[in-house]
Amino acid sequence: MAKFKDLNSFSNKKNIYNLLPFNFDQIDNDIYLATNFVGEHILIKKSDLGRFVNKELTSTSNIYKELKSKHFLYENKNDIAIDLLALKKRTKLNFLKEFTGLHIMVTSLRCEHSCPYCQVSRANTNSNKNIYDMSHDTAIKSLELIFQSPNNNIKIEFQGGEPLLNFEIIKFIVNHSEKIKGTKNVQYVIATNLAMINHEILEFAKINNIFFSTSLDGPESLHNKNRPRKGNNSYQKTIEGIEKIRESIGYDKISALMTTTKDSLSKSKEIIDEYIENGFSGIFFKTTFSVRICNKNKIL
Amino acid sequence: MVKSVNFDSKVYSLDVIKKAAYRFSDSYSFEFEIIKNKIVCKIKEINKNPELSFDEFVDIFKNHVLDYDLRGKIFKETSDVRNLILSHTFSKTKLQDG
Repeated sequence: MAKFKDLNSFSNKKNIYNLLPFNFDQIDNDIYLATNFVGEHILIKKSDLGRFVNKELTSTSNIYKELKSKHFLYENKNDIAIDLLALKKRTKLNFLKEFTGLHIMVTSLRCEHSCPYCQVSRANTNSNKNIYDMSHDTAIKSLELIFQSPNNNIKIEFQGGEPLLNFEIIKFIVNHSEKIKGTKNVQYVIATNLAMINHEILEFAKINNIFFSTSLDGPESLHNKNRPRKGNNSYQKTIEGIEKIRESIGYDKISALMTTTKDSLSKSKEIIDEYIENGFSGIFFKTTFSVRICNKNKIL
Repeated sequence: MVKSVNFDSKVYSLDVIKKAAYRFSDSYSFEFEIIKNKIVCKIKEINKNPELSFDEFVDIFKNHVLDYDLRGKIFKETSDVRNLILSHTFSKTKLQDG
């Protein structure tokens, strides 16, 4: 004769789910951060992580529901999760359908920093500008090439050396670009160490809606070790520059990225704390490239 | 100072232990040797950390080996669905040949 099933048969079902791809890392004694490839994240206890991977979580638990809603698991009966995850990934990669949108213009190879990881064959600030700075002819030809891209959204990023050592050509490029851009949307970004920032540059950036991107490698000692300059004050210059831009142009006009070296590897928490203390809500990691001067300096 | 830590090769792969070792390679050097069913990992301090004793580090290292083993399990178990998701992601995008 058939009998009623006990309550556990209904509420504590196990092994009804499959894992979706994710990675994790320990951020505290008992807390792990898990992330998946569409950018969802979850904080999970160490014990729950093990139980999750071993399919021991019950479908009624809160952690199960959170893992399910953030696409860390899918249930056997429900394969729509895979379609949803693919759709999210597809949306994130939508930019690949467009032609080249980001164009980098190196306005000067001169720099007053001497970072050992720099991928550029850097020249001193007093080097010959005719050799190491971008000329008007090169700028015009580069803009003609950039605007051949069918992409309607163009981003021009000024890099160096230190691009602000040749601020005159940046002004020329922006003004010329605005004349010839037609219906395209053009955004300008200056990638700078901020040591040369001044009132004139800030005013021009404000009028032309120019963004800034800078390097912040972490706490003062690490940043200054990675980014030497005369006076050993790269960190101070960077922080001051960040504040000036936020005050005079806007809080969101400056972003920062860090270059990861072997000295950074044991300081991940301090680096993230530094970004939080300076009001950045995100962090972009840039790996060192084993090319040119960086390779010669054997820093990797 | 050098310490030897033994791992059972039936439990952990050398690859997993190496991944955990890379993580600490700025402060410790690692040497591996396989003796029968044991992976012998010789650890040497390069940069002494005043806040962490060598024994404490060895315990942390063992936990990281365990974590990398779990990552390997997740990667293996989800590789089919990862490929399926990526196939869906790039389907009908005209980005692939054929």
